[in-house]
Amino acid sequence: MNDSCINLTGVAKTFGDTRAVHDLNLQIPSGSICGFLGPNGAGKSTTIRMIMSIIRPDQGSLQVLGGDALDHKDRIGYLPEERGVYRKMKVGDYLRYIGRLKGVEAASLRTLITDSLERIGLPDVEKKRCEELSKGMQQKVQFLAAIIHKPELIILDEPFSGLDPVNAMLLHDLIRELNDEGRTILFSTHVLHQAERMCDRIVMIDQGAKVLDDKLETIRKRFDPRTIIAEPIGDPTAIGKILQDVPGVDSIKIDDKGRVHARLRDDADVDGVMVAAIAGGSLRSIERARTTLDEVFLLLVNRPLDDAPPEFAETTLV
Amino acid sequence: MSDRNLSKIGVIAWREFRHTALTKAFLFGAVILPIGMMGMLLVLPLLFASQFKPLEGEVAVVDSTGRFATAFDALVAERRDRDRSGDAEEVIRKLGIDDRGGMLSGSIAAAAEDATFGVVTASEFTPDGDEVIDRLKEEARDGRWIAVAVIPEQLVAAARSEDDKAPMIDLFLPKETSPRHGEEISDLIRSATVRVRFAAAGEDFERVQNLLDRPSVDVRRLGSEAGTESGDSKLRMMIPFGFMMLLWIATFTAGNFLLTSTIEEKSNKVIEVVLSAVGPLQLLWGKILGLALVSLVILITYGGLAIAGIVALALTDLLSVSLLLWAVVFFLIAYFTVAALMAAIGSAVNELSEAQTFMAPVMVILITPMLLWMPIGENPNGTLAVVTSMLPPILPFAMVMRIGAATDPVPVWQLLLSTAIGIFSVVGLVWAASRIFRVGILMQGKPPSLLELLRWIRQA
Repeated sequence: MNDSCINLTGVAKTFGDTRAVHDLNLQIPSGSICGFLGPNGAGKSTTIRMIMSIIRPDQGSLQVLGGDALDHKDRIGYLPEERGVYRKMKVGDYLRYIGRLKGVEAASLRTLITDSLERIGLPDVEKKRCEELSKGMQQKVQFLAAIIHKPELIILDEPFSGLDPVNAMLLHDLIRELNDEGRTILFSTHVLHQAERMCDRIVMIDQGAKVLDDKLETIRKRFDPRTIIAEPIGDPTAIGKILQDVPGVDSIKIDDKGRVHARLRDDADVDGVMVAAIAGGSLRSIERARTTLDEVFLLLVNRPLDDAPPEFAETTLV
Repeated sequence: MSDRNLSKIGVIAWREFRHTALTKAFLFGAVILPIGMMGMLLVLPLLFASQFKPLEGEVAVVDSTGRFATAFDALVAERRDRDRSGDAEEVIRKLGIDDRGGMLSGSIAAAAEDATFGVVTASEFTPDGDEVIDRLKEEARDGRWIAVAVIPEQLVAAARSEDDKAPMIDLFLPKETSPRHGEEISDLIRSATVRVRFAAAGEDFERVQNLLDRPSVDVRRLGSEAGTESGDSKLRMMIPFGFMMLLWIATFTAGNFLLTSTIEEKSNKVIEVVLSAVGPLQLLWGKILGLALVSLVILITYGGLAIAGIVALALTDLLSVSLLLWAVVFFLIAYFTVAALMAAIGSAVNELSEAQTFMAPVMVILITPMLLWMPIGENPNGTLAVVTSMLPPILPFAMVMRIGAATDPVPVWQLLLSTAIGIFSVVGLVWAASRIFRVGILMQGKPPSLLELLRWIRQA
């Protein structure tokens, strides 16, 4: 399927004096997993709410599954950023209620709920009140409520926030499974390494405007640092000197961990440089550097992400 | 609206009803408690009566006339006869209850028959210094007498000058005598003294009593047509008040649930999850209709109890089917008025405490009918009554008071006009509420001002 599941053209939204989103054009292909990235306050949730027809744009046109999201609510699963549960309701009743509102037949809900709760690792909570669950458990129940009707388009606003690493991994696997079944997934996050692990497409916005929209592979190519990093067992300066004379190598730098960074020119033969490095002495490792989304974001907006933890950066450019 | 959308409204309505009315707290607070309290009101007098011991025994009277015992015994016999029938009938008649079958007065009399007086007699003793009195007091302590009364001679003398300072009767009771029995003995002694006084003067007490007896009046209200007379009743004034209170309790209890459930959905942040499945108007209608059922349950519970009471008291001529049908029409208008206001307020605020700011003016307006109970009940077709019954949003409350109080039916054109105005105002209010709901339900932070609410209505 190559047609667009979500299509936004020139969409804008203003709250009072604040311009939340402006002139946003966006096409999300059917069957893709798209990460919707940006720092806090970038306009991600506003855009998602407009996609869901919860709020109306001031300008522009917006098509979801070929029409208005209001007409296709039963085909869309939505996990909002501001999410909660009916505290006094039993988990089973809550999921049944949301399922019925999403148009699922009452008869099929019973087994569906039991099986789904088992799948997310909460087999014994059906009869418990929602308020009896921990925050993480409630998060999983909320996720289940968003997909209980097996929608073809799933929109998740910050799905990983508040989850521990084990549950984040479980959710990651569930989202991949849903995508493998052919469902389109759009999820927002400001934790970029998460998106990098999961997405095949990235949309990045900042201050209400789109700054990047492409396939992950294309982005990687576009922002390829063209750098080879070699970690020698012996003296790094020796390797550095050898590499400096290899055709196509632009510059050499050695970092404080003793790794040699060889920046290449556009016409350089990458494989040739790597072979020369290996021939130059014993190496602990050699790799071709990859740009992280954090770095891409830094390059595009010329400022760091507010909340991106530094440990997510995989390679440091020298 | 498609079937699917309608069925979603049904799902929301059922959740609202189930999680409001089918809870232990609701069943206890709104159904069992009032029924229980009403039951207690009925049971308590019976319980009280069951604890009454009839007055029994002999009263020792120290009296110089020698006429006291006869007068006392005659008085006791007369009181017993009156309590068996006349008293109950009189009470019921005064209340304006049409007890033609005599069922009520009969059962009251039967309950009272053994309760007041058992065998009570008096024995006379001639005053012979303090020794007699001391002896009698000692005997009373030992249980021989239920009381010892000392009647001063001046009190029963045939001729008394006005200047005489009337001495008092000395009455000695054993310490275990109950206050009620003490009162009864005291009353019997005093009344018997009057009779002795009559006898001393050579007058016939019964003849004078008959002459002084104020006749009873049977008030009938003339209907507009011949043969449509109805009994008058002091309870008549309670009917409009009852109607209005019933409407108030049913609509405001449900309205309050609507307010709190809307605020809860906002503060729990579950609202956006629900709005991803249904539109805000579907949610609003689901909530309004679900809580309409809750309101109906309250109305049926309380109204049913009231009607059962009215039927038990044989006051059914105060009610009619058309009156009840009109009451239902105005109940619906009242409910949707209150529900629209509560939904709008609930969606505009984030916490119950913030709602108070908006609730205050609403309550001031809607409490007005309560203050108008007396003037409307007194003159149900007067200018005040007619004007208030045409004035939204208080018109349903004023109109039910009018139809409840009217000795003559409210003119049909007024009922129809009031209904039409009511429906228009409900449509307007629900429209405005839905516009506020649409914007407010997702709004967080500082609650809006009244002006902002008006802007939401215009812009939504």
